[in-house]
Amino acid sequence: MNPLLSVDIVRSFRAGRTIRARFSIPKEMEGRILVVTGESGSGKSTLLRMLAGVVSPDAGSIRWNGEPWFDAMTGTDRPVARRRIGYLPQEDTLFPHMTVKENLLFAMEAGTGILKSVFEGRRRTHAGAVDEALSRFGLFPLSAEIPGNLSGGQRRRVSICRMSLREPSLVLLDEPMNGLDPKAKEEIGGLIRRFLSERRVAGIWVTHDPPEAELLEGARASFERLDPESPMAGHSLVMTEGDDPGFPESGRSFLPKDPGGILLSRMPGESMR
Amino acid sequence: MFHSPFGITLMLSFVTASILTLLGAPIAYGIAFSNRLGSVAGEILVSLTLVFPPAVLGYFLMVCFSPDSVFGHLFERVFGHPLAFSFEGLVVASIIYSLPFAVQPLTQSFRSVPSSHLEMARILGAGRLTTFFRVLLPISLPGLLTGWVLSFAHTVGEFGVVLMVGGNIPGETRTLSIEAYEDLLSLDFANARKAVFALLLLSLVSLLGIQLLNRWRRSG
Repeated sequence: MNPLLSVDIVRSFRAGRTIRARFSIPKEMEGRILVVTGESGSGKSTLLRMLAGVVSPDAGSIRWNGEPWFDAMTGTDRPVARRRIGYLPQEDTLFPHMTVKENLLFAMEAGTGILKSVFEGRRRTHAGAVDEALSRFGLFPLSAEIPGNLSGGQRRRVSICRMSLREPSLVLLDEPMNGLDPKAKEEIGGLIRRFLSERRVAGIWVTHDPPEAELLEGARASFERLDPESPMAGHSLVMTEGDDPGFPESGRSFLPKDPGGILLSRMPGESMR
Repeated sequence: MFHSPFGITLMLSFVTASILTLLGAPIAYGIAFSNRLGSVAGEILVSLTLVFPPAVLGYFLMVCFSPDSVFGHLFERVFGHPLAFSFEGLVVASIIYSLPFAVQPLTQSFRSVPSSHLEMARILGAGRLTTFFRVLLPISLPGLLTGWVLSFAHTVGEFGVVLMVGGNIPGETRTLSIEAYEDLLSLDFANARKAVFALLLLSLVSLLGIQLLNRWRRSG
């Protein structure tokens, strides 16, 4: 059986720094997370951007359910839009000129083309789905607000809601708690946990913060220096917990030690009550 | 009204600024998002008219507009009159002369849009056109409008190129700056004052527009 995701990629930078990642995520990881840690500049965000498809690796391959998303040998590079990725970057990426509702509608319409969606009457259908999502995420009172008028926690909530509308097959979370107060962390952590487990979606959660990583339950990996003396040589992703050597064809695999256990049972912020 | 020097100046500046805004958007996009070499080459090409003496530019434009040239000949066959010494000729000359004033602010605006927003649009399924029209351009609106106002203001004050390309045909190519020049030559100071005052008024209104846009930019 093909793993859910198998990754074996290398990316080099001008200064000579290299990022290497070789791992696979088995099907049992649906609804769970892989926690990726590492020092600043080690390549955590670059790994997510390569998986999302906005940055291409220099060599190697990325496969989703056995289908190539990227393969340097054959020149395959599946377009970003066709990877169905849910991406929550650490910076605020809500479009500042759109209201909350328009931001959500964008996620529904962007792929179909605006004219097509209007002419075929899809917009009304989209609006219905967006209204439903607004209520589900408790965002209805904020639907007419622009992102500039929202708090950090509210903006993150809208981002998660927008991400959910794409019905992603894989969720990439880049420091999702960054800049949030403890209360917002608790709220956003719960939201992500519910979203992943309800939709049975695998997530990769990147953090530079060891206490935050400690609170997350899931398989673990960390970016380690290729040269212990110098961070400039680059970093390689090394599995630190949850090793399952069952997928040797794609390197090391991340499987939780207790596949039946509930991952994400403790979220950052919950311990701060 | 549109045959008066004020009307011709207003019409010329409005048409030039509007065409430049449409033309400038793809040019600015090319400069802002191409590789370093393409970006530098584009910026140099667009900025050429800033350092070109108007007389040199006027000379080259007259050569291009001449019925002996391919472009001039084609225009005359299609529109039935030569491009030189016509309002249309003035528009083409003004577009080339004011190009950097529309392109540069928009290039800056495009560059200041965080790449994470553009990446997110792609991740959400948007193609290049959707990302351009629904994300990049609306966020860069202050830069687009600043480019419009700057090219409008620059066209209002044109003199050398307008004189060479348009001649001085009343009701057709005589703009306010040429009117002021003509009145001064014929020692008609009262009319020269009127023309100068009208030019000043248009410049002040443009300046006010730029100030308001800058405030909007800072607050946005």
